[in-house]
Amino acid sequence: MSHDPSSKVDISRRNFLSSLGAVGLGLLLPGAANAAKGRPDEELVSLHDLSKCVGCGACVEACRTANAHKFPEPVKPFPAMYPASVKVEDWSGKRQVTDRLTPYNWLYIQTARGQYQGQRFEVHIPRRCLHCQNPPCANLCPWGAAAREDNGIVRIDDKICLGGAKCKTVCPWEIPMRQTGVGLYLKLLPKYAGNGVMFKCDRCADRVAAGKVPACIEGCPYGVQEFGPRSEMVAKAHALARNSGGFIYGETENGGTNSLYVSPVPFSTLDAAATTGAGKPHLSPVRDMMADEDKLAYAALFAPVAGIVAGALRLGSRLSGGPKNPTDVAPPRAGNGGEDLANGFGNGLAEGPDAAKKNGRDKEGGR
Amino acid sequence: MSAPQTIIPVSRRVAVAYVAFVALLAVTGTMQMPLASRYQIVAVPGLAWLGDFWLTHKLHYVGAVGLLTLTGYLTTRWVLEWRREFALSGLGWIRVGILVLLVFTGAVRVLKNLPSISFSPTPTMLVDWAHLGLAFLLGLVALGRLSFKASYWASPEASERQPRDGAPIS
Repeated sequence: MSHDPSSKVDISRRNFLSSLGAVGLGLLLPGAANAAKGRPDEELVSLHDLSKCVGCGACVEACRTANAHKFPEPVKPFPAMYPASVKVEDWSGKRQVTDRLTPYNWLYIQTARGQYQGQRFEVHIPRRCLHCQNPPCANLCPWGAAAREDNGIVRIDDKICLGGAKCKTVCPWEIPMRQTGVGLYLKLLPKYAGNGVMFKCDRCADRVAAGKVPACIEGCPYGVQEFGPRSEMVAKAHALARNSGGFIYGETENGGTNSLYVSPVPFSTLDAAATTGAGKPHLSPVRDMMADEDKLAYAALFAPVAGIVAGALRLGSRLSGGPKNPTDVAPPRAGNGGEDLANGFGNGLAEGPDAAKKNGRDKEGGR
Repeated sequence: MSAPQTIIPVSRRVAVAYVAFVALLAVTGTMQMPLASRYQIVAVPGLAWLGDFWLTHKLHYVGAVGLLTLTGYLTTRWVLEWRREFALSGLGWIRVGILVLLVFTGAVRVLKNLPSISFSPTPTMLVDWAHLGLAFLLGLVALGRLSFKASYWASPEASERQPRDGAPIS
């Protein structure tokens, strides 16, 4: 939750992987990978100074107003879904709910009260999607509906999302919320696949694209949030934490997010004191959920090379008269029958009633 | 009566490995869609793991690593040793083409999942759909080959499909 001393190593690894990806994709999909030509603009980060937040809710209202045109308008009655155990999720009659995340409330104020170092505290935390740097929701969406944009915003495309809620399942904070009765699934197989659309904070992507700041930042009367390039915001967060003896959340969580929180109270204390659960995300440490996949990407990169080397070594072994298979006794003779061919290659597999006896079934190279 | 033999240049071990990797990829790939929970597959004893998106995702990567290694190995050997005696049939080339496109779209997805690499949503979506469609097509080709007793190999011997006493690459 504070600065990770291993981040320098991690950044190097990431840069290496990014370079590989950029080169590969530069060859395959010109123009599709922003990393191919070097990212001209950094990701944008929102920095929350929680010592300034009084929990007035102005940011929540600003968010709801600015994003009202994006909220779902479901078609009713909802189509029957199979199997019957599939549950409808309908928040359209509870649009006024503001004490948790819903498809109609993408930001809420989480409050933690308690004691820290013998003093009472009350900390208010504006909670919404943290916009991960390597978001599982976007990486694991099988339909391509969720994506991370160059500026660090993670968005769900409500035109193609089917509402399977996998993004919510794999999100460390279970942020996206589903509304049944809207979206593409209604036009496909509404009975058998899909269940609406997932909604979450898109960090006012339309406003940011127009050069504005997110509505929650603009609407805050206390200047709780700052918005800017990642390196600048990270430096400010560290300076703020250093000067106030505070703590940072979001910098290393899930490998890094583009939302940083600085609190005078440790986040473990806040997490224990705050109400968490459905629509009310926790403040616990989160490991990099995609770390294993990053390592496996290395393996996938070198796998074909290993295979090519193995194939070449196999040929080299044969040509150099090294260790041979028992079947490597005669050169292949075209037209001399299948068995000879198989023997000649030292690895052939003959199919047929008699072939099984002639081939060692479980050995590369025949018998 | 002794039936004619079908000769292919691949050992049974390699053939089984190919089938195993493709099966692993097909199952874990399909389970990337949220089907296991909805359709109660997770309630079937021994299949609860299919509902674990993270596990199936990692296994999909593992299967890809295996298939890519095998593909590199077989391609090298075919080019250097087997291509004259074991030319591919039209169907064989179709399968190769599908596999190449599957590897390409899968590679794009792996790259996209790396930190600090972003693709715009529409190409990502198209790659996802293409990967899914190609996997489906590969299954159809395999099914068609079995149904019509066709062969991936152009040699006369290979076109005479026999009972699968020895496992071919398929």
